[in-house]
Amino acid sequence: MRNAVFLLLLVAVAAGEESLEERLAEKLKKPFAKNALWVLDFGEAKTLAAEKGKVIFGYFSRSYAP
Amino acid sequence: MQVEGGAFSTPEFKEFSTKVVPFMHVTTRIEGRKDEGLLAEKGGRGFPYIVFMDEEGGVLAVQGERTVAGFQKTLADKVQRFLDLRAKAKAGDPAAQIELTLLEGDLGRISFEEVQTRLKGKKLTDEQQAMLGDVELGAMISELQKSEDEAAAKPRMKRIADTFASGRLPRDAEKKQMFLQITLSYAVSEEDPDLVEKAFGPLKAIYEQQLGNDPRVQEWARKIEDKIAEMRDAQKGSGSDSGIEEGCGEGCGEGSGDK
Repeated sequence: MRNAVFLLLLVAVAAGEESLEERLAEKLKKPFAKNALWVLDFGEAKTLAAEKGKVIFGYFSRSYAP
Repeated sequence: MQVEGGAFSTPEFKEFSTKVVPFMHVTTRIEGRKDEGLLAEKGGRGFPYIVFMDEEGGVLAVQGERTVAGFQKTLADKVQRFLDLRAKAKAGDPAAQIELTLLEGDLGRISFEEVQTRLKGKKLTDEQQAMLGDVELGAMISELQKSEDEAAAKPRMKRIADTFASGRLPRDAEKKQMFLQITLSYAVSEEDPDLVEKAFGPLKAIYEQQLGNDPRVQEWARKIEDKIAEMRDAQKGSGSDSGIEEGCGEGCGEGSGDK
């Protein structure tokens, strides 16, 4: 019985607290992220810039906090 | 972040984004994630941070105004200027080589020591000398931000405070504010009321210019004034701790940004 209560508590805590991975996923689902073809990998951005002769427009944000 | 629901969500940005490679870096605090420290590597000190970079990832310009018109202007002016200077310097233009070196130092692409080495023996104009001074002061802030712990930070804070006390301040508004905040913080930790007072005046003026009569500024100013009074009392043989901050609180005194 005690184990079951502990398990329920764990589930409740987990449901209330998003993981860092979930926060990142939420961030990338926002409408602004769909308004441009954002490149998320720095190496890929550099390769594309070299190939296309364009400069990189780098936006630095965070997902761990609002 | 305001820019996400603002400029980044407009049709104008969608159009602008086709002229560049739009790269988004998200600091996640997920352990072991690739490029997690990229913000600091590119000179970022808060969120959001927007920069233009070349194909090697070197910073070409730091974006101020967070509007599509602002992005276009930076691309047309600052980014183009850097690229033009680099082309002229590569072709052997000595004036362009000096300008480019100073600009690279200012953007943190090369160290202040490297700037000094490259400019050794070159005759600089008054403006170039002033810019060299700005590069030096900017490097002091960058060095402090790389401090791994308080022990490493303390002497770097002292260097900045001493530099301010000698009458030098960066011309760039953001760096000037940081210089004053660092000096104030150091002066409080060292219980130096004269230095606190000296940094407090111009810092308060900056906050008031940015935020007007915001109650947070008034509250912060009151605490600093109380602290100065306490320190002066302590010098006479009594005192207590009011627990003040060098800044006027979260989101306060950070210009137009929502860091």
